[in-house]
Amino acid sequence: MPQLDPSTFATQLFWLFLTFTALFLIAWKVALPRMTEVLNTRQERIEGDLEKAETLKAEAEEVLAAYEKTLADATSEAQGVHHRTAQEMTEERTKQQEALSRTLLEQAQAAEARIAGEKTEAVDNIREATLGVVQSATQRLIGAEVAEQDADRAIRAALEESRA
Amino acid sequence: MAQAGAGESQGPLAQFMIQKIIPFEVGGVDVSFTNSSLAMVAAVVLVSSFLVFSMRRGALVPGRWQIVAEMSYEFIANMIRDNVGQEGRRYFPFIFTLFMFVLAGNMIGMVPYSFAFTSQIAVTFGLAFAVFIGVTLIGFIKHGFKFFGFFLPEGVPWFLAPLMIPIEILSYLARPVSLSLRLFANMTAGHTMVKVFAGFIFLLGIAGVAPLLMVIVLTGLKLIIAFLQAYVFTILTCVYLNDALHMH
Repeated sequence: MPQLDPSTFATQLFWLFLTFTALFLIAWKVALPRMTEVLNTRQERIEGDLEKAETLKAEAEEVLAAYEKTLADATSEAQGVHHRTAQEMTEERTKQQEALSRTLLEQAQAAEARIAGEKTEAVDNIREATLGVVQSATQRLIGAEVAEQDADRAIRAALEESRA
Repeated sequence: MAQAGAGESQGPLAQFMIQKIIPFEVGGVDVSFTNSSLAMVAAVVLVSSFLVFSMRRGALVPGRWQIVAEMSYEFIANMIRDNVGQEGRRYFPFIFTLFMFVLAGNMIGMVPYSFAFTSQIAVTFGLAFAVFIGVTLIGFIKHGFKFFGFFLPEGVPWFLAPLMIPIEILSYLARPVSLSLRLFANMTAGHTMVKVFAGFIFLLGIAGVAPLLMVIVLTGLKLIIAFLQAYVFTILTCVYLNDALHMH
């Protein structure tokens, strides 16, 4: 086995030391710091982006909450207005109905009063008209002169009787 | 798999031969630039340029190369977090380098006519021993002499101590050996096997289709093993580091 030839050991170990040290120094001082830097930059960038996304998300959620609040406020306000209007309209209607029924009642009462007045008047006219008829009829039938007051009283009584 | 020079053996083990490219010595010790060194330098260049160029733009939304680089980063970071915990973050550059170096070594070895330095026991033991020394030092720095308590797990009856302590010390000392042998043996076995089967392709003529298919299957398997062994080497380092930081 050529590997076991001791005469080659010194040169191999010498060059191993030289090359390995060179590679170690290059990796340690040049290559690895650069890689660490690149990886850290990326890591920071990713974390920064995530953070930014988080902030934006929170902001969007805030806006959404505000929007929803506005919407809810508007809805409740609209409902209030609607409710109030409906109430007002109901009240108005009731008031008008009351006024109308009152007017109708008053008119009915006035009509009734007029009817009653005219009725009384008609009765009076009948009495006056009957008075002469009663006096002359009595004269013709029994030949007696009936006093105006007696005749009036009798007519009134008859009228009262018929009315009852 | 290195093509052996003229007159050299063409056997399945020839690919592991160390070939000097630029010979030189320092203080009487041979430290020539070899094919093994070339593969290691290639690994360093490949890994560095991959890491640097893939992250050059550092895009927020990564492209294909950047995704691969980031995946390797996350892969090791997760491995350390799962096996060592928060204290392991300090050792991330070392463990990341270890993983990429072994993985690149294994992958470079997969290229035909190249050289797999991770199939060299000297290299794997060098790495494993460095990990062993480092982890032991971390243990002693963090826990002081209490780290010796590592060799006598809590809850063990006192009369078992004479038995337990040698066993624990032995298993602790065996760590760099098993760590290096595992990688070395896996890579050597894979490359040798492919070479053996590949040798049969032309010998068998038309029947050479069978070993050819075998080589294709083995190449796929070796790609998996190349990754898996880099992973195992790294995760065991994490486990040892965790032991040193948190004891048992």
